Amino acid sequence: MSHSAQDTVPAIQTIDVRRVYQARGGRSIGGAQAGKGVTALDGVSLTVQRGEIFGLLGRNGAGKTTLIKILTTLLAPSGGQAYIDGMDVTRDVIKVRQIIAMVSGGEQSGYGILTVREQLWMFAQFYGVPSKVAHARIDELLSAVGLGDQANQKVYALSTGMRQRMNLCRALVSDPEILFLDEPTVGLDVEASRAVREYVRKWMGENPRRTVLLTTHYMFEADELCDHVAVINHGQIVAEGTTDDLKRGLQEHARFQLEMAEWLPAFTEMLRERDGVVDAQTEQRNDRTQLRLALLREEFIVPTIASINEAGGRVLALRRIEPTLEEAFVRLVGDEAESQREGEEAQR
Amino acid sequence: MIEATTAPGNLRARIAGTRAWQTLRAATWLEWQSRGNWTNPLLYCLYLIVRPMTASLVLVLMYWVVSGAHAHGGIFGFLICGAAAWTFVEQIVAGIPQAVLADREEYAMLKYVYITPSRFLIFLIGRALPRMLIAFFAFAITLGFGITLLGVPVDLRAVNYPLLLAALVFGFIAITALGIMLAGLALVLKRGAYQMPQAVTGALYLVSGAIFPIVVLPGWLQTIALGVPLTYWLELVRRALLGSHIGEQFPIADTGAVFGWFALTTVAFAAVAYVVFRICDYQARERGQIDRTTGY
Repeated sequence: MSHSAQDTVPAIQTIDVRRVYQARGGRSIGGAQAGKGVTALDGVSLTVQRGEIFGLLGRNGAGKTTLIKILTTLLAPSGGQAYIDGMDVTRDVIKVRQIIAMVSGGEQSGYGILTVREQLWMFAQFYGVPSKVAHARIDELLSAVGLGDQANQKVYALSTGMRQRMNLCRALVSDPEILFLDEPTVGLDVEASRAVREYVRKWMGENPRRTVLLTTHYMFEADELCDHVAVINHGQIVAEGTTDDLKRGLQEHARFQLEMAEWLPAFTEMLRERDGVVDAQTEQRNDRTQLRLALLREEFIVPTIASINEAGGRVLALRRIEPTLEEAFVRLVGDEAESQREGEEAQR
Repeated sequence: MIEATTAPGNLRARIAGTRAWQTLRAATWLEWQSRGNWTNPLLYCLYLIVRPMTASLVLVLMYWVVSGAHAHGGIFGFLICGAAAWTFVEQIVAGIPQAVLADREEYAMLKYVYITPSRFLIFLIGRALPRMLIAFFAFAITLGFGITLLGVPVDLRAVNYPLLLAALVFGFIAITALGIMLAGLALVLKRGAYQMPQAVTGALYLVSGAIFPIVVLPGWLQTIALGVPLTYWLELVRRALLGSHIGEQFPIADTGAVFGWFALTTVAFAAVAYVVFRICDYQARERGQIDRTTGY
């Protein structure tokens, strides 16, 4: 397949992917006995285009890791189809493995008896990278993630953060096209997490064909890194889009915060009666008044400010209030989780 | 990476061949490091010498107690040669499944190895090779110890070296096939994965004639013994070292026939082992057991 033809194929595509883990004693294959098992994925359909950092957000047990396992050929789906660069993950296993790599967080993985360089070299061999190329790449990667001085250090002697950075290098030593990061910064301190994020962003910037699928608990991480995100809950995708889409999707109205001088209480009533204004609330802060406006649509802000000026009010500052990705996530997943918990308590 | 998926057939085959060789080499090197990198080289050499010597001394002492200190009886050479050769089984049959379990549960690396484009089977064969070398060293040490200090009747000038070499090469195939099959089973077992290889080698120790002739076994166990390639393998190693007269204690007298049966059972056994391994590999992926941590 030529590159131009490949470019039209999504980097990752799943169609109605299901995965049922059978209960102990039950048969584990296929979805025929779906009722007897635990459904980890329930019809997940996703498309990730080349060049994207795609975030998959969800609570523990939502199905994020199960999806990554299927996409990386570690686990067979119970139903549906999953493709990597147009190749079926169940049929074209070796071809898929040639272009992917994975890093999981929250684990102490690594052959402790080997040095960092030895471990990376060994994985380069498994991918068929010539030794000379591998060593040059190892030097470059270790230097880029700040582990240049640890190249000849035994893996067991590395800190958690260093080990995770080494694991990132292990995944990148084969120069994969598609990288799966399964909560890569779990358990890392602020500095190590930042180093991982910065390197992922840099790595993506080097080649437009590269793609990352990232799962994370940290909303700021997704907000900072991801072009698109999907929220998964109970094995189903409950929302998908850009991070801005998700945040705005929650907002029924456009919300603004204004710092006002020379404010009269009558202004508030006047605003509430204006077309397009859903709500207006004020709060006194020292010599200023903070006005919070909810408008039907964003474009109503200009005539609203004009009417305030005409009435004699003075706008000192204006800020659009956007929900954070975390608020969006809680609204999508948390409320449902809360009601589920309340339901369980009521049953007891 | 792109080239590997889009290259024409012959080039793709060459890339796959190169990768298979690299995988074999890297897996061999990994196992060698795992075996020897835990201490300094001098101490490791000492360990390699002392371990087989003490293991055979235990058997010798037992033999002396039972036989009334007739260390040079006809069965003595049989026992030492069997014990020496059995180190191959211990190292490889029990060792490969343990390496796989350690990769999965101790190092948490099995999943990363598994999702590389290298063939898992080649990775396992690579893990077996250093163990074979270590076992060969132990085999030689035990025999040397037995010949020089215990008077085992091996005349080095009369040893049938071609037969010994052929037996060791075919034996490696049979033993590695068994180890790979058990590695597959270890992947899918929920409990007892660590104990299973020891249990299997223990059972084989009984029925393969490792330290006593299989003619002393009950009839039904003899039938089982004759279906196991290790029985013929041990017999061939003994005949190569001690001479064909040792075959008087074996149901099949002719060495050529023993070799024929050995080759036949090895091929059959390797085929069964391959099928079992593939089924286990498939099942492990179906059940999500490649990266499982049992904690047992």
